[in-house]
Amino acid sequence: MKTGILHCDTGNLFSIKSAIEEIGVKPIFLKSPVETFNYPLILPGVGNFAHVIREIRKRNLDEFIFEKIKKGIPLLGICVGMQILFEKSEEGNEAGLGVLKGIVQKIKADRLPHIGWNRIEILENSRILKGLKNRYFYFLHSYKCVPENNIKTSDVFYYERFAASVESENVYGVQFHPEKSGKEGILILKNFFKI
Amino acid sequence: MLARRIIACLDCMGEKVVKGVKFKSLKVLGDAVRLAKFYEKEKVDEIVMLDINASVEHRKPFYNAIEKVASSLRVPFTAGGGVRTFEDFKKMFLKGADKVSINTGAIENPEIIRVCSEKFGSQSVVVAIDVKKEDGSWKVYSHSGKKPAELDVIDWIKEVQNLGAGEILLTSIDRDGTKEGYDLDLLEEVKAISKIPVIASGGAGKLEHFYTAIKCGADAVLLASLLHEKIFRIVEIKNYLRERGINVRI
Repeated sequence: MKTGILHCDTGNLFSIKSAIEEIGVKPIFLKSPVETFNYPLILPGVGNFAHVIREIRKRNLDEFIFEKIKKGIPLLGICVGMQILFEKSEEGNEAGLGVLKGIVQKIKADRLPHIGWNRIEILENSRILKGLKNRYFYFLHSYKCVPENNIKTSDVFYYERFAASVESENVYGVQFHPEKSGKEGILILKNFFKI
Repeated sequence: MLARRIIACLDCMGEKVVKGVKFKSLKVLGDAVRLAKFYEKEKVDEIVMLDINASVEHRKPFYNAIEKVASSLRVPFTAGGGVRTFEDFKKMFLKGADKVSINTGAIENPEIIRVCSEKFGSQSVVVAIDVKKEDGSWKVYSHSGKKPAELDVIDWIKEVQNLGAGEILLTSIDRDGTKEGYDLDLLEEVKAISKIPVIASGGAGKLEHFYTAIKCGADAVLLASLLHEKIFRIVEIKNYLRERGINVRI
């Protein structure tokens, strides 16, 4: 099995790369569209919303993502990688990819970022959460996704309740970092590659 | 809500984990990669790896050792020791650190905190502060506790906060390795003025020490030889805390 990690020079991809290698999947970094690439895609979660989306457009990876989603290729967005799937964010003036309906807003909290281990509450059966109960995952973010449709599969509470994961057909998103969440995080990645 | 963290600290010389008492008399306790992986299985919340002699020996950290530990770990990983420049920070992240800890380098050039927190984000800049109590207040020491920095801990914490530090790793040199408990007076004074998470370090010896440190406001507790010498297991500490109403990841 291979996977494509969409690479936008936005930050450190060391952890996601070594986590994927650990489960026997070969990560390929995609810096530009590769039409013949039909393996699952990962949109990693490092950086600022506006910056990441600009880098994606600059490399024509937005069109590539739309096309692959339409073909039914599974895609997993992690942290900011999940946020840019939505229509827009309070973090900068760039429009998101709009693959998912809804917006990204700043968390209403006294202390940000929301950083550390927090427990998710599973709401819906989700393929990537299979085998997991309400476990702790590692979060590091200041903005939350507010989906318009009923696509939340789990919630987390930090000053307020918001989405910890979403699923809409072949598009998946997690607000936490599975690559930094111990064996439960690894299980999520394994589930994703089984889809 | 967020869980309180139990952090395992690997004080290293290369890939060897070492431990001293009051920052002196070092002995080898194990292998860094093997111990880090073991603690991850035991549900440690974070690993800190410090190259303790890099600053003293005026050399760069052992990057290969850091990369080896980072590539096997699936929990947040902080690396430090001998970090002075922006390039040192960058290299630590490239070698797989999620956060970088800076101590002597920040005392010598505080502006590095601002530069690195702007570029890499505050959350990835941990300022480690080693203190000794002198005449009723706590003084900061650099070079693995060997050199007085002529700074009061409260003034220094206010400064690093303003410069954009994301977290403070606060070690009491007086308590280090003594098993008498964390310095709670120090913790209380620091918590009263800190706006960022504080990791308590130095002195744990009994289960109740973790509880009292957290009750004094520690966002995380750090321990080293107690784990390396197998005096406590992480699950034992977490169960103890959970039974007393502290939210921990089990």
